[in-house]
Amino acid sequence: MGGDHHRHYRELFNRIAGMVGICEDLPEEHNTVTLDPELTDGHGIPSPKIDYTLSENSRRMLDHAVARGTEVLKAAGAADVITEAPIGVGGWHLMGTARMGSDPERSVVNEWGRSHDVKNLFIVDGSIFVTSAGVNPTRTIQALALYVADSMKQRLANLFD
Amino acid sequence: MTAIATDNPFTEAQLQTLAAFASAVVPASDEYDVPGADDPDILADIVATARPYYDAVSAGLAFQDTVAEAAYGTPFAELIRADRADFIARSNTAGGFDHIEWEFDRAAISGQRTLISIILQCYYRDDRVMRSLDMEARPPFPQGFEVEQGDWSLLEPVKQRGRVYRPA
Repeated sequence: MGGDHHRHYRELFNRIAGMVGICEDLPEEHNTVTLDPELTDGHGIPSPKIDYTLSENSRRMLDHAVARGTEVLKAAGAADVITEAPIGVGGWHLMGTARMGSDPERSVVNEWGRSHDVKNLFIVDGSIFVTSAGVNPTRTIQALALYVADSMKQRLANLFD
Repeated sequence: MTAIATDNPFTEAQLQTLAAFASAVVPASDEYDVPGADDPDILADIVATARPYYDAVSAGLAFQDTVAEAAYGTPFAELIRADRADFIARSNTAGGFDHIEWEFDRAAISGQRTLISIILQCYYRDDRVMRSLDMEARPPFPQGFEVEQGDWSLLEPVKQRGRVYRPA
């Protein structure tokens, strides 16, 4: 902004290349999604309360990604490399909270998507992931949908046992 | 100001602050032969674009005046050119206004950022500005732009592989 705007803008225009490093958090138990004890929506339904702390492992992954990305950009001739990790504004995938597993104490659905607690409840979406998967999850969600549907089909005779 | 739509929700005082701020954010330049963001056509676009964000933008404009009065003893629109430039320079610097008493107002700062975003968005879609950057003065759609074709033969192995998904 200001007097040098045009000169600065022309220095950058058509001369910027972006690079994003995406890291996958480990399934860390200190990161949780719970019901907020106070905040509700307009219908009085508790809002989700997200507790997230960047772990040492995640921090090191980010540092590694930034260092390698910087190397790549400089090797390609970059004159000025600006980094931000983690990014303040970005898109997010809503994953987890009903994770899949064989142990009812540590998971919400079993290995084929049926709730441990409610036998006629199946969950087939990004919530059954056990980690964020790092990259875009839609194809994996589609694969899980096919897999869970197949599992239900094979068990029709005793699906709710 | 005739280019500004008559149904704009901003008061005359707000429009004066907006125009002054727009010209401070993107001043006119003889060197590059471009107008400032307070050019009537660009300003009309800014006002029309800002209309749905009236509350946020109004908070941002009020914040401009609050800080200007605290720092220079006058509303933003009445700042002399040098003070406007100083205001923008301080806005670009962390702690630039630490020498005055001002209260952090998240909504106002968010509104100010919204306004800056709208100013830049409208400025860089103005035909004259686009041409000054050697751009075609038109949006990318619906005509699209000619793109250099890559090596489509790279897809041959994929095509030869055949279908990898099962029928529904």
